[in-house]
Amino acid sequence: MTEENKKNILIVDDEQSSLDYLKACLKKGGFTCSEAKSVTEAKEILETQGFSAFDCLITDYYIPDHNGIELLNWVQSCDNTLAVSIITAEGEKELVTESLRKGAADYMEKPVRPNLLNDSVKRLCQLTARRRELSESKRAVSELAQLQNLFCQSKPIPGIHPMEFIMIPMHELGGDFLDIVQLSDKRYIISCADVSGHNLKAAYVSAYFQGMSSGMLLEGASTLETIHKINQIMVNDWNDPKVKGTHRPMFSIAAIYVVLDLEQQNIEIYNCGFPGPALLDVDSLSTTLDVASQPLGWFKDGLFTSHKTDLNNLTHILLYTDGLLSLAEALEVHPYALGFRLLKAENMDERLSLTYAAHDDILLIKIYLTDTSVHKNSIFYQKYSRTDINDIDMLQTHWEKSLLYALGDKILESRIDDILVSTREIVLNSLEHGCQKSSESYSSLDIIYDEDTEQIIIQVNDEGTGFEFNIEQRLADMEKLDAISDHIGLGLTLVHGLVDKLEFSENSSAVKMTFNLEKKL
Amino acid sequence: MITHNVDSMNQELVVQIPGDLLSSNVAEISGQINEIKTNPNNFGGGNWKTLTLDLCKARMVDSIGLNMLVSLIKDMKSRGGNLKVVITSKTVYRTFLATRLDKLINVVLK
Repeated sequence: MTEENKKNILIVDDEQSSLDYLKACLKKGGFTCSEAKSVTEAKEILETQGFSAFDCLITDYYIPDHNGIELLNWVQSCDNTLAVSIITAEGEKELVTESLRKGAADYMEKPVRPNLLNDSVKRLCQLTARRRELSESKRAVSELAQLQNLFCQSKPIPGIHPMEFIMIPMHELGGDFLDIVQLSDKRYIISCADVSGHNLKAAYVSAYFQGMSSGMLLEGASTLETIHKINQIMVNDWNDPKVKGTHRPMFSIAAIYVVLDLEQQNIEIYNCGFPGPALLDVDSLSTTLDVASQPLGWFKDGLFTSHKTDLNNLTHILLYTDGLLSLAEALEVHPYALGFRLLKAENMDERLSLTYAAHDDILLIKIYLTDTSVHKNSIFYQKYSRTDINDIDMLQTHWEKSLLYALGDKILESRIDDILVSTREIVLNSLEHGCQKSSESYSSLDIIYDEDTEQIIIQVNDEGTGFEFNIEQRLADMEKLDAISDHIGLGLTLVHGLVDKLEFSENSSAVKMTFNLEKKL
Repeated sequence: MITHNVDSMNQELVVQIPGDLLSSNVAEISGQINEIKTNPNNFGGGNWKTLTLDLCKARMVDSIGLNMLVSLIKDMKSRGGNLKVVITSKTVYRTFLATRLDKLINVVLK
């Protein structure tokens, strides 16, 4: 007797003759059967013996105490893996349709022929088995997801700095990881990685290399040795073309290692295909480190270099996977604005609603480098070249969407217009004159939200030599119509009237505008 | 799309601007206003003295837009007429105050 023929079937029918007939047919087919003459009795059997004792259930539609669809509903509410088939009288198309709509796996019309009965029951048993396998896999994935979440949560740098961390996998499990290794009292290595893909396979690869990386670093291997070893294993073993039959890497990891030395007051960053991290200073002005090597797993002789910088007045670092970048692009907002909202979200439900359009896992980490509480949040940072002048309307739309996304109702419409037209003036001025018409020269724009003062701070820096500007003289000139001849002075006068504070530095090549969020007029 | 009408009773040529006055659209808008001004059918029997720009749909006016207004002020002065703007945006109003254009133009904030 094969495994298949040992399946146990529960038959429900109030007519003894029908029960006897169905049992005889199924026994001939190699099945074992249990019987119930009413829905109540069927429920008792299932509750007593357990749903898993049966491989499928066949029920007549017409049963005195209830009907077959009511039994079907009850079974599905208790165990939706058990396949149910409903037997109807010949020609009862409406009942057949309703049964299938309610979730019956099959139906049979009386009189039921033995061979059709056995074929149907065989399929039903296979369906139950498949559903149970799937359910078990889902449960296992769910448990793994909880484990992964546990691994990646609560990672403060011990005793010193808080660290904000968000991980939003596309599915229950993701391919991103975060790890912190403490080398000494004041020396840490923070590593983040994004494994290609965002499924169970990616989660497996992620867990494997997270463990390996962490183990090597704890055992005294240098960051560079660890990176080389992971790359070597990925290229030679995991992506070996002889094994895979293709030269295309099957797995790759975009990873970043931040070696934080609080004694020497510096950080060393190894970036292997990860988006450039943002370094933010005490005013939340950004510097993006765009220097990166290729991801791990691509080339055997990969060249991995680091970038070292003093902490100076740096206050925090933002690390994020390209999942954040692609979602920000889809939302048409700056990644920092999206990151700000995610970090400020009160719970996971809010984060999930913010990321419903995501097509990749998202990992976002904000590492604080000082004890000082920094409540200035960068919500936009971009470098522009002179050619961007032609796209000024598009740039302005990007600023507006990012501001509204990050701050929503906090910012009044008339205030955002003040901010936009002022920023437009200063950026255009900076690109036209500050960059001195050179395509090699850049202007940077920082938009910062200060939570403590409820202010928006806009800072525009260019690489030019600056210029002299006397706002008082300009205002006096405005009284005389003929003196209005250039829009540079006019633009700065306009800005002066819209901002709450206007500051120039570095001979006006750096302009800082402060706007209170409340209405000015 | 710019539209216009002549208010003969008040001797006004009213031009409706469809949105913001910015560096990216001033050249086009300025050209269209010029066409409207120079069209002999718009002179309302020679009684047209005031050019009114309806900027109710404008959220902002930048420095290039302000320059256009300054050119129109000069042009209207030379014709012995005047310029009036009708606005709803507080940002545009603050812009006029900041640049003192409110002293040179008849600004109506709705």
